[in-house]
Amino acid sequence: MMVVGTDVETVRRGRRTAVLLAAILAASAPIIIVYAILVISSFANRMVTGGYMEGLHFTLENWILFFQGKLTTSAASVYTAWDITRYIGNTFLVALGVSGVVTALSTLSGYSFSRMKFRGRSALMQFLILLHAFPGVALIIAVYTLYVYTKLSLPPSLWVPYSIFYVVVARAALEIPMSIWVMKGFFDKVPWEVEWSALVDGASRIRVWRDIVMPLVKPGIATVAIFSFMAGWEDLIYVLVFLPPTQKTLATYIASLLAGGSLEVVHLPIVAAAGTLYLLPTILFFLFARNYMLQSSLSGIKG
Amino acid sequence: MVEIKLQDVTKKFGKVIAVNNVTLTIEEGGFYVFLGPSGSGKSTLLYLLAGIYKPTSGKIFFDGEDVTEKPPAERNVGLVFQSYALYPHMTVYDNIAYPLKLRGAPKEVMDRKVKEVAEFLHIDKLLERYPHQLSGGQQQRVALARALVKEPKVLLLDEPLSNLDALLRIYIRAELKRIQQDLKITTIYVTHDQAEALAMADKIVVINKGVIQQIGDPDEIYYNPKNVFVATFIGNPPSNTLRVKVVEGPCLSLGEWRTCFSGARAEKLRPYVGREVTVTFRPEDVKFSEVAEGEGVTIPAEVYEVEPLGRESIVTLSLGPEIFVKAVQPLQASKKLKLGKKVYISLLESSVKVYDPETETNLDYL
Ligand SMILES: Nc1ncnc2c1ncn2[C@@H]1O[C@H](COP(=O)(O)OP(=O)(O)O)[C@@H](O)[C@H]1O
Ligand SMILES: [Mg+2]
Repeated sequence: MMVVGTDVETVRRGRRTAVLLAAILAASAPIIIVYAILVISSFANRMVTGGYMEGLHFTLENWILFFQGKLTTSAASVYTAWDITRYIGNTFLVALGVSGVVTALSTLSGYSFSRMKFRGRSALMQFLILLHAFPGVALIIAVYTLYVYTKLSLPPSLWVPYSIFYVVVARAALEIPMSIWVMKGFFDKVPWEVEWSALVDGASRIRVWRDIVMPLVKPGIATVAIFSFMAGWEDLIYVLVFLPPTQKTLATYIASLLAGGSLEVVHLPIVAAAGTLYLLPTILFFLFARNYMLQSSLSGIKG
Repeated sequence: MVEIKLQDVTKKFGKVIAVNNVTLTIEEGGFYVFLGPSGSGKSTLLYLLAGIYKPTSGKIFFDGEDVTEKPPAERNVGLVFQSYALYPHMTVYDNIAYPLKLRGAPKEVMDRKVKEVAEFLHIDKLLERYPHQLSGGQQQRVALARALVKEPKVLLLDEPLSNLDALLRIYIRAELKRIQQDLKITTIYVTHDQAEALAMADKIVVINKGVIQQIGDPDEIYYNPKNVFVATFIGNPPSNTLRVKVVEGPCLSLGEWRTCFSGARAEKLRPYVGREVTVTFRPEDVKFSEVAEGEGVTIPAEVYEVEPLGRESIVTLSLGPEIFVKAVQPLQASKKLKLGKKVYISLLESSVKVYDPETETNLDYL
């Protein structure tokens, strides 16, 4: 019998999707609301906490004050504009550094794990999972010991750059095991025949890698790059432990504003501005990369 | 266009011997079909010719030149993979142009050649599309275009039709053969489909378990199989196989039935007196009658099953417990056959092939 009208399967799936979506929304509503309060408050003269609108007006003042390093609207500033610039710069440095190291290493080793047969390959893959499962905080003691020993062998003028370098490498190390898995998965999806085809067409190994393999795993590279960037951007504990107190990132800057009762003296919308800036990569990622990654996972590698 | 020679080529993957000591000459401009069941080493042979795999031992020559150690890029072969292996992130145009781009061909030359081969294969309307926007048949053409655009010395096709539906397969089969004849390009076509092999080949190379079983033109392969494997792999339905006793005469004996040989074949059969041998015969060579006739080989049988196939029927006959023989009958004749009916089947002595029980080699080839 012909079914006229809407396809039965489609209706059912549509409804299931709607239910799922509603559930996800309900579950994430508190988070979304908190984020919304944060972002809106950063543009308001006071914290926006509900329907109470009296005396509320919107302004860019918080952002200006934040970039000047001020913590209240009136008092003299503790931090200078240069401090804030440095902190934002440090945040970028750590995030880009982690992202760069993780992306480069996981792309190369993902390729080896996917394409090369070597002794103990599967054992090593399992070991990577285990590594990933270890909490980074537990590792920090050993990592710190190593840090202190290596730092002391350097001239003091290099200590600050070295501390940033150390944060990048240590934080990247935490991200690498999982990223290798992700990259291996993407390389696995590139059929051998496609590579061979290019070889037969006359390409060198390098050309095959550049023209064929890389474009096909681009979504994987983007995924790994973005996630490790955010890991570096958001990291608190490694930055806190290794960077000297004079060198902050957005994460440790915000943490310091909230620590030790200083909440009562700071103008909260300024902290909200800092928090919003701290959230920015996540928001941007949500707006742009999501579509891209979704597409790539759907159309991916076919035929 | 080249003549290709393989000399004692062996390829092992660990303990698996995928290609075992293959020696073979592929004549210039010929259409060769490598025919064998799945896992017989056909693809491995093609990859060895393309340079994707290096032989574990043995040598490969193109026109007398040793290319064994040459990488794929230096062999100028066109290879169509079973999965087509199109570049998913490139348009049809870029897919076809890629080999030319790698050679550094100027833009105009590239344009002209891509258009030419696309028109030749009727895909000139698809040049802007991506592979995933194409049907299986179209993808297959693109893969063929990409292989042909570089004017290769030899065209290698790995089961190019196996992913297409049955109708399209028969249509493209004829077209591929036509293209090969037009271009006169040395072609090796790999398939597990014996009908495809018979329909297309100048020469068929039958392969099983990495070993060449027989090389010959389709007639030879069909009518004079070199061993039991070839006889039973080729034909639809394939040859019937029976184990029979050889008795003094020499005669073949199965139950009450007895057939005696004379002349040269008798001499070849004589050493087997007292032992069992394998015999094969084609279903279409089996004749029926309701009474026992004196001529040729006559065996009493019972109709077990009749499968009408349109023009003809396949009749399964029981010669005894667990001994079945298939016969092909015209549809009209087969309609009179009731299940369980007693008949006599007869065979010309010449259509019965006899094989050594150990080596399974056709005695005619000994
Ligand atoms: N890369 C490989 N590694 C290990 N074994 C392989 C590889 N390629 C093929 N083989 C084995 O070699 C044999 C022949 O394979 P193949 O040439 O693909 O057969 P066909 O194409 O005739 O189906 C099979 O047993 C297969 O499992
Ligand atoms: Mg194969």
